[in-house]
Amino acid sequence: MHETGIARNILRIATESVLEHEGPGARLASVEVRVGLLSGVDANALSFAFGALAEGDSEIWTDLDAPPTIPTKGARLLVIPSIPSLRCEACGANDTPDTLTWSCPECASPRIRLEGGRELEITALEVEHDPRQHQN
Amino acid sequence: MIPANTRIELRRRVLEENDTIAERVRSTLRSRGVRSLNIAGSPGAGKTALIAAMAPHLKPHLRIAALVGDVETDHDARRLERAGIPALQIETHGACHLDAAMTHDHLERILSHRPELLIIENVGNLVCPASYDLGEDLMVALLSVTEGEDKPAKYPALFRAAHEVVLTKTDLLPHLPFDVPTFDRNLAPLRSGDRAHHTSAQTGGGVTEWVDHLLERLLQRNPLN
Repeated sequence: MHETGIARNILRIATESVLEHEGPGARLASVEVRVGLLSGVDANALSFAFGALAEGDSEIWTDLDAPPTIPTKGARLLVIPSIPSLRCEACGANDTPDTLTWSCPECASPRIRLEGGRELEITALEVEHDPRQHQN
Repeated sequence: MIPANTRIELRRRVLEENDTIAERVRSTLRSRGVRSLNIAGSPGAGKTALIAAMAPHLKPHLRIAALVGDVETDHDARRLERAGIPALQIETHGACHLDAAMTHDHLERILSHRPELLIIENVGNLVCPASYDLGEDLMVALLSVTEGEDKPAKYPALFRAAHEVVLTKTDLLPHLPFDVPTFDRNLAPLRSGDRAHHTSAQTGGGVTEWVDHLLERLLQRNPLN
């Protein structure tokens, strides 16, 4: 599927942001992403692709994309699933079900409206500073 | 001593680059008075056949042209050309969906035919096209009756993202166990009750009604000058 391309976008945005906030000499330790259940992205495939790309194996980065400018080896991806909130148009119940559901947990009506759940965004980064620059 | 890790709070959309290019495509299309559709569905759902069947009903109202995505071959662009639609093939060479950059890169060439409606046929896939805005006015999700009535429940993202859902190959319904009420029940919660349009490219059944509805919606959204 398309998780490799998405993982590549995540690494590009993350490394550019680290460079912008911390300058060179920082290492990307982890990235926190919010992934909606309706985003069409599989969290396991995304984590696998992210891990492989973060190792920096140049064969995985295509010629079209420059490899990350700051070290990413060993960086972790933390996926925060985002579940849509549900409103039942039959009984008025509001709920945030643990799993994706297409009927109201209160009255079983299929007339539900789902809000959110399509998010695919980076919410936080964790940066580790290169210890070699802090030896004094 | 190794300093503690620094946490940086961010709020960046992962597909922001695609969305930026999609907005550029959208504004180019709007500034030239071109309306647009993104047609998505499984391989073999009948995307090309439906576009070809729609053409005679669209042409009296709008000049049309098509961009067609496939992993390999230009078969579909040639099929559409045989149906009298100027068409340009986008071969993705492995990618399972079109993205905004691909639309953008082929835009000027297809706009040289001066279409008033640009139909973008996505790569056959029920998952990935839901994530990628191509800059279109309306996304249309197709499902053929041979795929089974449970597909909206199994692939909710696309059927929820689409502006319209079209059921294709309905001439085969008498030969299949496909249960329309079950399909409607699977689709309803994803679409606030909106039902699918029933069409058959083979017999032409339902195509006029679908095109009439589509024209009304497209012209409402982007009135003719």
